[in-house]
Amino acid sequence: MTDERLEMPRGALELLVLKGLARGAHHGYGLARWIERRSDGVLLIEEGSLYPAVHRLERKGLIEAEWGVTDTGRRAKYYTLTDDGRRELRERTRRWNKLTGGVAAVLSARGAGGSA
Amino acid sequence: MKAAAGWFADHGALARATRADVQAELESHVELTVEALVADGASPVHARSEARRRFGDMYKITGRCLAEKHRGELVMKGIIALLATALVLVSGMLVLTTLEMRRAQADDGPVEMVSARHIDLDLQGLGDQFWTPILLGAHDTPRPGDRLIIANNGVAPDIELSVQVDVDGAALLPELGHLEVSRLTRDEIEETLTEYYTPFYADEIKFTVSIERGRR
Repeated sequence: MTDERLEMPRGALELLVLKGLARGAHHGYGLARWIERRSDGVLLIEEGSLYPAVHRLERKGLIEAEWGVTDTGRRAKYYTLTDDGRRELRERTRRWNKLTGGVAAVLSARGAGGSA
Repeated sequence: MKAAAGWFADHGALARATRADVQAELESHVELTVEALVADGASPVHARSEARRRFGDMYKITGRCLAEKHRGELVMKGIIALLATALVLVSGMLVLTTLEMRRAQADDGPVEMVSARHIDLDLQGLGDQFWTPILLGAHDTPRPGDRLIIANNGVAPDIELSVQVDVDGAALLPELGHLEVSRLTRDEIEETLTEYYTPFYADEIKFTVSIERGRR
């Protein structure tokens, strides 16, 4: 795990939640830990941001919620991706890749101030 | 009314249930964190304390979740509140405009002489619902813009009327012409009218006068 933990850029958290749920049902805690693990601890998921984002996605009909029980027998609310959510994930992923690709291209340009 | 009360009750119950559901979900998150910390070797007490600390302000996060859940509803409520406010403002402006127009008509027009019965009907008009006339006392004198409501003991129905005091402080009365009422008290006006009109009628006539204070 790196020492530098970064806060999630605006809009990226919803995308990562959708991505996390593409693997199957998750509760909020599981989603947060999964994102932190997958990012090697670089991304800091704060509950104060995670749950409002999850409820926002639910209101938009991109995910669905259902109470369930964890492996340890604890009650938790599990979220799954809807068909609309799956389509939204594809579209947002495409836009994100385009955006970050563009930013990366600019940053890698040779010139004053750049290391490349 | 009963349906509205039922709607509000249902709505309140739903809002409470939603809040309870969100709180249960967030508490579940804390409990899962406690489990993980205990599994990593922390004591249950320390784990719970640490889980709470990491989670942050439960109340605030609950509020943010509820705001997200009810965003559409909040927007709708905002629109309804805006429309209601606009309706109240427009209604208020209409009432004020109506009152202003009525007052302008009263001020600009010639001195009108109408029967007391007509005045009674007029007082039931829209504008007067929002204005209670101030009746002056026996020793008060009328001034320009005030209105005299003249009645008698039924001997002279044609001299039961309402008349406005003009800018010179006079009131135009049948046969009598312009009477400078601003120099007289209410009692003196009654005496003057009785004295002037008595010779025209066989029966004893007695006048009563009410003075409504003008609106400006």
